Amino acid sequence: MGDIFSCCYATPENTPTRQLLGPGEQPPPYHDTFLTPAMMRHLTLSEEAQLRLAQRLALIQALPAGVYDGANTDYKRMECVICMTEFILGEPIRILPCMHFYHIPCIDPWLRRSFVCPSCLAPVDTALLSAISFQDNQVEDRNVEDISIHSRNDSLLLNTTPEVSALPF
Amino acid sequence: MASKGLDQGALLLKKQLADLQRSSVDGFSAGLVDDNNLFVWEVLIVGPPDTLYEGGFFKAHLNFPKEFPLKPPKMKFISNIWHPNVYADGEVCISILHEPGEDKFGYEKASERWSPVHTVESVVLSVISMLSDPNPESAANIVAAKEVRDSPAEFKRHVRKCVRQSQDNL
Ligand SMILES: [Zn+2]
Ligand SMILES: [Zn+2]
Repeated sequence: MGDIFSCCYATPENTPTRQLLGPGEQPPPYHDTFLTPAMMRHLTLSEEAQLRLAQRLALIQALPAGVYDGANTDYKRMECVICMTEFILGEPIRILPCMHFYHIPCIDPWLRRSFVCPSCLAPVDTALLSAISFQDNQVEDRNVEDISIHSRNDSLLLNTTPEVSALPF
Repeated sequence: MASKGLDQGALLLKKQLADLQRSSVDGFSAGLVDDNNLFVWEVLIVGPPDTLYEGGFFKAHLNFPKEFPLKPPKMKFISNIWHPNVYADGEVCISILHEPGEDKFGYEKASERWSPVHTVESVVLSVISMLSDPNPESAANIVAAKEVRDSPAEFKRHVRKCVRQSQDNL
Protein backbone atom coordinates (compact mmCIF):
# COMPACT_ATOMS: atom_id res chain seq x y z
CA MET A 1 0.00 0.00 0.00
CA GLY A 2 2.85 2.35 0.89
CA ASP A 3 4.15 2.95 -2.62
CA ILE A 4 1.00 4.61 -3.87
CA PHE A 5 1.54 7.50 -1.49
CA SER A 6 4.40 9.52 -2.80
CA CYS A 7 5.87 12.49 -1.06
CA CYS A 8 4.46 15.77 -2.20
CA TYR A 9 8.00 16.81 -2.99
CA ALA A 10 8.36 14.03 -5.54
CA THR A 11 6.56 15.88 -8.30
CA PRO A 12 8.16 15.69 -11.74
CA GLU A 13 9.29 19.31 -11.55
CA ASN A 14 11.18 18.64 -8.36
CA THR A 15 12.80 15.41 -9.41
CA PRO A 16 16.41 16.09 -10.34
CA THR A 17 17.15 15.22 -13.93
CA ARG A 18 20.21 13.12 -14.56
CA GLN A 19 22.58 13.81 -17.40
CA LEU A 20 22.88 10.77 -19.62
CA LEU A 21 25.98 10.19 -21.69
CA GLY A 22 25.43 10.46 -25.44
CA PRO A 23 26.94 7.94 -27.88
CA GLY A 24 30.72 8.15 -28.03
CA GLU A 25 30.89 10.38 -24.95
CA GLN A 26 33.42 9.49 -22.31
CA PRO A 27 32.39 9.47 -18.69
CA PRO A 28 33.96 12.36 -16.79
CA PRO A 29 37.35 11.64 -15.22
CA TYR A 30 36.04 11.56 -11.66
CA HIS A 31 34.58 8.15 -12.47
CA ASP A 32 38.08 6.90 -11.72
CA THR A 33 37.63 7.80 -8.08
CA PHE A 34 35.41 6.14 -5.53
CA LEU A 35 33.03 9.05 -5.73
CA THR A 36 29.97 8.80 -7.94
CA PRO A 37 28.94 11.89 -9.92
CA ALA A 38 26.08 12.35 -7.51
CA MET A 39 28.49 12.36 -4.59
CA MET A 40 30.76 14.81 -6.36
CA ARG A 41 27.84 17.09 -7.00
CA HIS A 42 26.93 16.87 -3.36
CA LEU A 43 30.44 17.78 -2.26
CA THR A 44 30.55 20.73 -4.61
CA LEU A 45 27.21 21.94 -3.36
CA SER A 46 28.19 21.68 0.25
CA GLU A 47 31.34 23.70 -0.38
CA GLU A 48 29.29 26.27 -2.19
CA ALA A 49 26.74 26.17 0.62
CA GLN A 50 29.51 26.77 3.15
CA LEU A 51 30.74 29.75 1.20
CA ARG A 52 27.24 31.13 0.91
CA LEU A 53 26.69 30.63 4.61
CA ALA A 54 29.84 32.62 5.33
CA GLN A 55 28.59 35.37 3.04
CA ARG A 56 25.21 35.17 4.70
CA LEU A 57 26.70 35.63 8.14
CA ALA A 58 28.51 38.74 6.93
CA LEU A 59 25.30 40.08 5.40
CA ILE A 60 23.37 39.50 8.63
CA GLN A 61 26.01 41.40 10.55
CA ALA A 62 25.67 44.26 8.07
CA LEU A 63 21.95 44.68 8.69
CA PRO A 64 21.07 47.67 10.82
CA ALA A 65 20.86 46.94 14.52
CA GLY A 66 19.95 49.01 17.52
CA VAL A 67 18.45 48.89 20.95
CA TYR A 68 14.78 49.06 21.77
CA ASP A 69 14.18 52.37 23.49
CA GLY A 70 10.39 52.23 23.75
CA ALA A 71 9.91 55.82 22.65
CA ASN A 72 6.26 56.68 21.91
CA THR A 73 5.04 53.34 23.18
CA ASP A 74 3.32 54.57 26.34
CA TYR A 75 -0.01 53.37 25.05
CA LYS A 76 1.14 50.40 23.05
CA ARG A 77 3.30 47.58 24.23
CA MET A 78 5.22 45.87 21.47
CA GLU A 79 6.28 42.27 21.30
CA CYS A 80 8.79 40.39 19.22
CA VAL A 81 6.60 38.13 17.11
CA ILE A 82 9.18 35.35 17.07
CA CYS A 83 9.39 34.79 20.83
CA MET A 84 6.04 36.51 21.58
CA THR A 85 7.72 38.44 24.38
CA GLU A 86 7.44 42.17 24.92
CA PHE A 87 10.48 44.21 24.12
CA ILE A 88 12.28 45.55 27.16
CA LEU A 89 14.11 48.86 27.12
CA GLY A 90 17.69 48.46 25.99
CA GLU A 91 17.27 45.07 24.34
CA PRO A 92 19.33 44.63 21.18
CA ILE A 93 17.18 44.48 18.06
CA ARG A 94 17.82 43.92 14.37
CA ILE A 95 15.94 46.00 11.82
CA LEU A 96 15.19 44.45 8.43
CA PRO A 97 14.84 46.51 5.21
CA CYS A 98 11.02 46.14 5.46
CA MET A 99 11.33 47.90 8.87
CA HIS A 100 10.12 44.91 10.84
CA PHE A 101 12.38 44.39 13.80
CA TYR A 102 13.10 41.55 16.21
CA HIS A 103 15.37 40.63 19.08
CA ILE A 104 18.80 39.91 17.65
CA PRO A 105 18.95 36.45 19.31
CA CYS A 106 15.54 35.67 17.78
CA ILE A 107 16.06 36.87 14.20
CA ASP A 108 19.70 36.08 13.47
CA PRO A 109 19.38 32.27 13.71
CA TRP A 110 16.37 32.48 11.38
CA LEU A 111 18.22 34.62 8.83
CA ARG A 112 20.92 31.97 8.71
CA ARG A 113 18.22 29.57 7.51
CA SER A 114 16.12 31.81 5.34
CA PHE A 115 16.79 35.32 4.17
CA VAL A 116 13.21 36.57 4.38
CA CYS A 117 11.38 38.59 6.98
CA PRO A 118 9.34 36.17 9.13
CA SER A 119 6.41 38.60 9.30
CA CYS A 120 5.95 39.94 5.78
CA LEU A 121 8.13 37.39 3.97
CA ALA A 122 9.88 40.15 2.06
CA PRO A 123 13.30 38.99 0.92
CA VAL A 124 16.07 40.66 2.86
CA ASP A 125 17.35 42.29 -0.26
CA THR A 126 20.89 41.29 -1.05
CA ALA A 127 21.02 43.75 -3.94
CA LEU A 128 20.50 46.52 -1.43
CA LEU A 129 22.99 45.01 0.94
CA SER A 130 25.72 44.53 -1.61
CA ALA A 131 25.54 48.27 -2.17
CA ILE A 132 26.61 48.67 1.44
CA SER A 133 30.30 48.30 1.87
CA PHE A 134 30.11 46.66 5.24
CA GLN A 135 33.85 46.16 5.36
CA ASP A 136 34.14 49.92 5.22
CA ASN A 137 34.02 52.27 8.14
CA GLN A 138 30.99 52.72 10.36
CA VAL A 139 30.10 56.11 8.93
CA GLU A 140 28.61 54.35 5.95
CA ASP A 141 26.66 51.99 8.17
CA ARG A 142 25.33 54.94 10.08
CA ASN A 143 24.18 56.57 6.84
CA VAL A 144 22.12 53.52 6.00
CA GLU A 145 20.57 53.56 9.45
CA ASP A 146 19.77 57.25 9.14
CA ILE A 147 17.85 56.56 5.95
CA SER A 148 15.89 53.84 7.69
CA ILE A 149 15.11 56.08 10.60
CA HIS A 150 13.83 58.90 8.42
CA SER A 151 11.47 56.54 6.67
CA ARG A 152 9.89 55.68 10.01
CA ASN A 153 9.13 59.34 10.71
CA ASP A 154 7.44 60.08 14.00
CA SER A 155 6.47 56.50 14.66
CA LEU A 156 10.14 55.99 15.42
CA LEU A 157 10.59 53.45 18.14
CA LEU A 158 14.20 52.71 17.60
CA ASN A 159 17.42 54.13 18.79
CA THR A 160 20.07 52.65 16.58
CA THR A 161 23.68 52.41 17.50
CA PRO A 162 26.32 51.17 15.10
CA GLU A 163 28.28 49.28 17.73
CA VAL A 164 25.42 46.91 18.48
CA SER A 165 26.64 44.47 15.85
CA ALA A 166 29.37 43.58 18.30
CA LEU A 167 26.82 42.07 20.68
CA PRO A 168 26.55 38.30 20.95
CA PHE A 169 23.64 36.63 19.22
CA MET B 1 13.97 38.51 25.78
CA ALA B 2 14.01 34.88 24.82
CA SER B 3 16.33 32.72 26.81
CA LYS B 4 18.93 30.72 24.99
CA GLY B 5 19.01 27.18 23.70
CA LEU B 6 16.36 24.55 24.29
CA ASP B 7 14.34 26.77 26.57
CA GLN B 8 13.20 29.17 23.89
CA GLY B 9 10.94 26.69 22.12
CA ALA B 10 9.49 25.45 25.41
CA LEU B 11 8.79 28.99 26.63
CA LEU B 12 7.08 29.86 23.39
CA LEU B 13 4.93 26.72 23.43
CA LYS B 14 4.00 27.34 27.05
CA LYS B 15 2.89 30.83 26.13
CA GLN B 16 0.82 29.55 23.20
CA LEU B 17 -0.80 26.91 25.37
CA ALA B 18 -1.77 29.57 27.92
CA ASP B 19 -3.15 31.79 25.13
CA LEU B 20 -5.26 28.96 23.71
CA GLN B 21 -6.55 28.01 27.15
CA ARG B 22 -7.48 31.61 27.92
CA SER B 23 -9.38 32.21 24.69
CA SER B 24 -10.37 29.22 22.60
CA VAL B 25 -10.42 29.41 18.83
CA ASP B 26 -13.38 28.24 16.75
CA GLY B 27 -12.91 24.95 14.97
CA PHE B 28 -10.45 23.14 17.22
CA SER B 29 -9.27 22.49 20.74
CA ALA B 30 -5.68 21.90 21.75
CA GLY B 31 -3.69 20.60 24.69
CA LEU B 32 -0.62 18.62 25.66
CA VAL B 33 -0.50 14.84 25.32
CA ASP B 34 1.61 14.69 28.47
CA ASP B 35 1.57 17.65 30.85
CA ASN B 36 5.32 17.32 31.33
CA ASN B 37 6.17 17.60 27.64
CA LEU B 38 5.48 20.88 25.87
CA PHE B 39 6.73 19.52 22.56
CA VAL B 40 3.90 17.07 21.86
CA TRP B 41 0.38 18.41 21.45
CA GLU B 42 -2.96 16.85 20.70
CA VAL B 43 -5.58 18.80 18.78
CA LEU B 44 -9.18 17.93 18.04
CA ILE B 45 -10.31 19.45 14.78
CA VAL B 46 -13.99 19.92 14.05
CA GLY B 47 -14.79 19.07 10.42
CA PRO B 48 -15.43 22.46 8.80
CA PRO B 49 -19.12 23.21 8.10
CA ASP B 50 -20.28 22.95 4.49
CA THR B 51 -17.51 20.54 3.59
CA LEU B 52 -17.45 16.76 3.25
CA TYR B 53 -15.71 16.67 6.64
CA GLU B 54 -18.62 18.37 8.44
CA GLY B 55 -19.70 16.48 11.53
CA GLY B 56 -16.33 14.81 11.99
CA PHE B 57 -13.99 15.20 14.97
CA PHE B 58 -10.44 14.49 13.91
CA LYS B 59 -7.66 13.97 16.39
CA ALA B 60 -4.12 14.94 15.42
CA HIS B 61 -0.74 15.22 17.11
CA LEU B 62 1.74 18.02 16.68
CA ASN B 63 5.38 17.16 17.28
CA PHE B 64 7.64 20.14 17.76
CA PRO B 65 11.39 19.92 17.17
CA LYS B 66 13.80 21.24 19.79
CA GLU B 67 14.66 23.98 17.28
CA PHE B 68 11.10 25.35 17.26
CA PRO B 69 10.26 28.02 16.12
CA LEU B 70 13.16 27.93 13.68
CA LYS B 71 11.92 24.58 12.41
CA PRO B 72 8.27 23.63 11.85
CA PRO B 73 6.35 20.98 13.79
CA LYS B 74 5.14 17.80 12.16
CA MET B 75 1.43 17.21 12.24
CA LYS B 76 -0.09 13.76 12.08
CA PHE B 77 -3.72 12.74 12.18
CA ILE B 78 -4.42 10.00 14.69
CA SER B 79 -7.99 9.65 13.42
CA ASN B 80 -8.45 8.01 10.06
CA ILE B 81 -8.77 10.73 7.48
CA TRP B 82 -9.08 10.58 3.71
CA HIS B 83 -7.58 13.62 2.04
CA PRO B 84 -5.22 14.28 -0.89
CA ASN B 85 -2.74 16.13 1.32
CA VAL B 86 -2.56 13.60 4.15
CA TYR B 87 -0.31 10.54 3.92
CA ALA B 88 -1.50 7.03 4.66
CA ASP B 89 0.12 7.25 8.11
CA GLY B 90 -1.77 10.46 8.86
CA GLU B 91 1.09 12.91 8.32
CA VAL B 92 -0.11 16.23 6.98
CA CYS B 93 1.70 17.58 3.95
CA ILE B 94 1.14 21.31 3.55
CA SER B 95 3.71 23.79 2.39
CA ILE B 96 3.82 25.93 5.53
CA LEU B 97 5.06 22.87 7.44
CA HIS B 98 8.04 22.65 5.08
CA GLU B 99 11.24 24.45 5.87
CA PRO B 100 12.56 26.90 3.32
CA GLY B 101 15.11 25.01 1.23
CA GLU B 102 18.45 25.22 2.94
CA ASP B 103 20.36 25.24 -0.33
CA LYS B 104 18.22 27.94 -1.91
CA PHE B 105 18.51 30.14 1.15
CA GLY B 106 14.87 30.89 1.20
CA TYR B 107 14.13 32.79 -1.94
CA GLU B 108 11.89 30.45 -3.87
CA LYS B 109 8.30 30.25 -2.72
CA ALA B 110 9.33 31.40 0.73
CA SER B 111 5.84 32.81 1.07
CA GLU B 112 4.40 29.31 1.22
CA ARG B 113 6.96 27.90 3.61
CA TRP B 114 7.50 27.77 7.33
CA SER B 115 8.21 31.02 9.14
CA PRO B 116 8.96 31.36 12.87
CA VAL B 117 5.93 33.58 13.39
CA HIS B 118 3.61 30.62 12.81
CA THR B 119 1.90 29.30 15.92
CA VAL B 120 -0.09 26.24 16.91
CA GLU B 121 -3.15 28.28 16.05
CA SER B 122 -1.99 29.37 12.61
CA VAL B 123 -0.85 25.84 11.76
CA VAL B 124 -4.13 24.23 12.80
CA LEU B 125 -6.13 26.92 11.01
CA SER B 126 -4.13 26.18 7.85
CA VAL B 127 -4.94 22.51 8.21
CA ILE B 128 -8.63 23.33 8.64
CA SER B 129 -8.48 25.38 5.45
CA MET B 130 -6.71 22.45 3.78
CA LEU B 131 -9.73 20.29 4.70
CA SER B 132 -12.04 22.82 3.05
CA ASP B 133 -9.85 23.21 0.03
CA PRO B 134 -7.84 20.10 -0.91
CA ASN B 135 -4.88 20.61 -3.22
CA PRO B 136 -4.69 17.55 -5.51
CA GLU B 137 -1.74 19.12 -7.37
CA SER B 138 0.65 18.31 -4.56
CA ALA B 139 -0.69 15.00 -3.41
CA ALA B 140 0.43 12.95 -0.45
CA ASN B 141 -2.41 10.47 -1.01
CA ILE B 142 -2.43 9.92 -4.74
CA VAL B 143 -5.57 7.78 -4.77
CA ALA B 144 -7.53 10.45 -2.92
CA ALA B 145 -6.13 13.11 -5.27
CA LYS B 146 -7.26 11.12 -8.31
CA GLU B 147 -10.69 10.68 -6.78
CA VAL B 148 -11.04 14.43 -6.22
CA ARG B 149 -10.44 14.98 -9.92
CA ASP B 150 -11.99 11.92 -11.54
CA SER B 151 -14.55 10.38 -9.19
CA PRO B 152 -15.88 12.85 -6.64
CA ALA B 153 -18.63 10.43 -5.57
CA GLU B 154 -16.03 7.86 -4.58
CA PHE B 155 -14.02 10.52 -2.76
CA LYS B 156 -17.12 11.60 -0.87
CA ARG B 157 -17.89 8.01 0.13
CA HIS B 158 -14.37 7.56 1.55
CA VAL B 159 -14.47 10.85 3.44
CA ARG B 160 -17.92 10.25 4.91
CA LYS B 161 -16.77 6.87 6.15
CA CYS B 162 -13.95 8.58 8.07
CA VAL B 163 -16.43 11.11 9.45
CA ARG B 164 -18.67 8.34 10.80
CA GLN B 165 -15.65 6.51 12.25
CA SER B 166 -14.51 9.70 13.98
CA GLN B 167 -17.95 10.10 15.57
CA ASP B 168 -17.93 6.49 16.81
CA ASN B 169 -14.47 6.96 18.34
CA LEU B 170 -15.37 10.07 20.32
ZN1 LIG C 1 12.21 37.83 20.39
ZN1 LIG D 1 8.96 42.42 7.20
